[in-house]
Amino acid sequence: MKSAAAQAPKEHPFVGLTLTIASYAVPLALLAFLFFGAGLNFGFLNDSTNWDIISPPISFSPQDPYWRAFLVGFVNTIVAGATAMVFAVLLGFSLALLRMSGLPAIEGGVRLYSDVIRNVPVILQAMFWYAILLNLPSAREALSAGGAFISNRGIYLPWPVTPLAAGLIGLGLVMILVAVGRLRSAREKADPGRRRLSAIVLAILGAAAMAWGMARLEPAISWPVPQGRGIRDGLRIPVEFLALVLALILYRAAYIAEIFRAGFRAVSHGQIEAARSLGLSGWDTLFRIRLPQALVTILPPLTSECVLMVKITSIGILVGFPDLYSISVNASTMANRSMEALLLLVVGYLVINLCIVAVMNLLNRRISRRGRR
Amino acid sequence: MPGLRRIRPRNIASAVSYVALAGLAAFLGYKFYVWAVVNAVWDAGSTAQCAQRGTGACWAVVRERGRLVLFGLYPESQQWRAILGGSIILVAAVLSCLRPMQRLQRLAPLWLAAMVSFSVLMSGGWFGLPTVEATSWGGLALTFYIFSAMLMIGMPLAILVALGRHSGPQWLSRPLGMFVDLIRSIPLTAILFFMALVLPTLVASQLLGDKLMRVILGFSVFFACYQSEVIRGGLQALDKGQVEAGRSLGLGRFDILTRIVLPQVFRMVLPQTVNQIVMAFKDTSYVAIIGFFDMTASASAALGSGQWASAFVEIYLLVGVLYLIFGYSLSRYGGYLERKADVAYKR
Repeated sequence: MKSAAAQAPKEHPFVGLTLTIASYAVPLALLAFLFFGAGLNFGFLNDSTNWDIISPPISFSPQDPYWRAFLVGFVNTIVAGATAMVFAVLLGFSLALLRMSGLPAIEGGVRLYSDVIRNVPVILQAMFWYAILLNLPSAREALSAGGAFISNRGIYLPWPVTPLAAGLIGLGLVMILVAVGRLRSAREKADPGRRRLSAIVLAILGAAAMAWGMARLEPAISWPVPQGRGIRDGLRIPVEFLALVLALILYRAAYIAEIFRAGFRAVSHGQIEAARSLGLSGWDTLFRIRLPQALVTILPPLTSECVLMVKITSIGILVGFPDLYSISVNASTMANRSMEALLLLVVGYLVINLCIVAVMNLLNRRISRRGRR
Repeated sequence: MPGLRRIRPRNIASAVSYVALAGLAAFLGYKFYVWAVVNAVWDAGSTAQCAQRGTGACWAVVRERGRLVLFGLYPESQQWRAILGGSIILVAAVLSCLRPMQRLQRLAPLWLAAMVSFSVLMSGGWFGLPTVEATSWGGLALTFYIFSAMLMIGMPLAILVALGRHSGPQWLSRPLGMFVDLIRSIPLTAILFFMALVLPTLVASQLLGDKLMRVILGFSVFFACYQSEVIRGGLQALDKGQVEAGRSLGLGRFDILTRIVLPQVFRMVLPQTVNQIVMAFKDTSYVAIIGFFDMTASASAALGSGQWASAFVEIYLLVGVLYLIFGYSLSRYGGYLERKADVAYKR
């Protein structure tokens, strides 16, 4: 930017200022027109919807207002996107390792998988998995394994009666473990005092979380029970969610594997040889030498993958999953407010994507700083 | 024995993985063969009849419903028009992959001719052909139509947007940048939603084209936003000396652009462009969400009637293989271009 300004012919500073203002004013004017000129009215958000949403993570009934329906869709999109992303990264990482295993047969198998999966539209894949899942046995003849049931309505898992309390205890445990780890390694660091202090604070917070969880925990697990034509209790993961998430995982993992592979390739071979000559095992070389260095290359494209993943969840409507897009379409036809529904949809995706980019940039900065040290 | 010493753990693992995978492939292949050939039923009126006659694949559904997948609701007596139209697009696509054709002054007329003849053939009304409304176009023919129309409109748009962002004045480049970033951060479904549902509430109905045209426009804008970033990358990578050399030869701005800048940029970004095109081909399946009967939607429509409902594997397999053929050949072509570019770069 600076060099361009230096090269540009001298013009009155006022002209430059005007142009800068104009460059912001045009999109702003467009937005203002959309808001005021198109007669937007968000009043419908307080009306009750009169339609139902199947099995949302937060409760919903036909009497609930539209804003709650949008909230359900928003949460559903985040849950589906996050679940798919976590498993796609795990699968992609494993595929990348298999692809670099040096065993031609396995490498060929992985390549075949990725060639097939990458060239078929993900919509078709989701529809295929949905059809498969719908053709599973009905609840009455549900397959069962270890207390869990699988039927054409979904997977039923044993689940703590008070999941929030159980989660708090788990979180507290993790925090205390991390604190202990930091305390033990503090001696080797440059600022042991500060590290010890932060570790102690973390441990106290963890203990508090555990105590809070314990106080509210009912030490019972809700087991799914077949009853009549259905299955009650337990945690039900609906087939719609399963079909969507399964398709997204299998589809994007093929791309994420390529990202990991490129990242591993960017680590110089000397690093691996050095690790080996130090006597590190293959596993240690992978997780302590190659992966940390590869992450610098991997994180930026992985950020775009996260954003992309959230965007693709919007195909959920075709398998009946009530995500943000599906709710917006419903709301726009039922309340006859399409412009407002679209704006909420766009804002919802923008919020999610901006959060992803912010978090990943934070991670990225930490990692590249570590690399420079 | 000196030969034995060469057997290292790596070789053993390799051999074991070969045997295991070959065994797995043979097992699955056999299972598939039994299902798809030995026990398959080729002739039946419904899946119930299929189940009576054999335990394998029910290929009768492909015979009965394959037409729907390929041509949608296009009238059966006029089917040859859809076949011919699809073939024209295919030939144009294959021609575009040939090196001598990859010039703007050859590609543009080729695709213009292909699209015009396709539209004339499909919609009819001329040369004594009966008219067929666009609403009854469908299947593979519709997928081809949306795909090529998206590229026809999207590619020039992408060039304009990239040029505007790269070398336009600030009042143009900044809003364009914002627009591109906005479109790139929302899902394609949101854009189609705008085109299909929101636009009719904003604009007088006389100004609107039909729904298919609007949706194609939405696809094109979406494609253009992604492709413009690819082209912009090429523009930034282009040596400044090229433009300066053109200027010192006394060439005008337009000539510099069309004879020096764009040809080199396109050569540079061809591999990524092919990737974008593969993506665009897969993205055409999004029209299923808006309610058009492209190949993907036709697949589920073919199952919609009760009598074939449980033959979904056969139908999805057929559609998947069709997508795979086109998508895979395109991506192989992209990979070939990428390797060639690498070689040229290393030289």
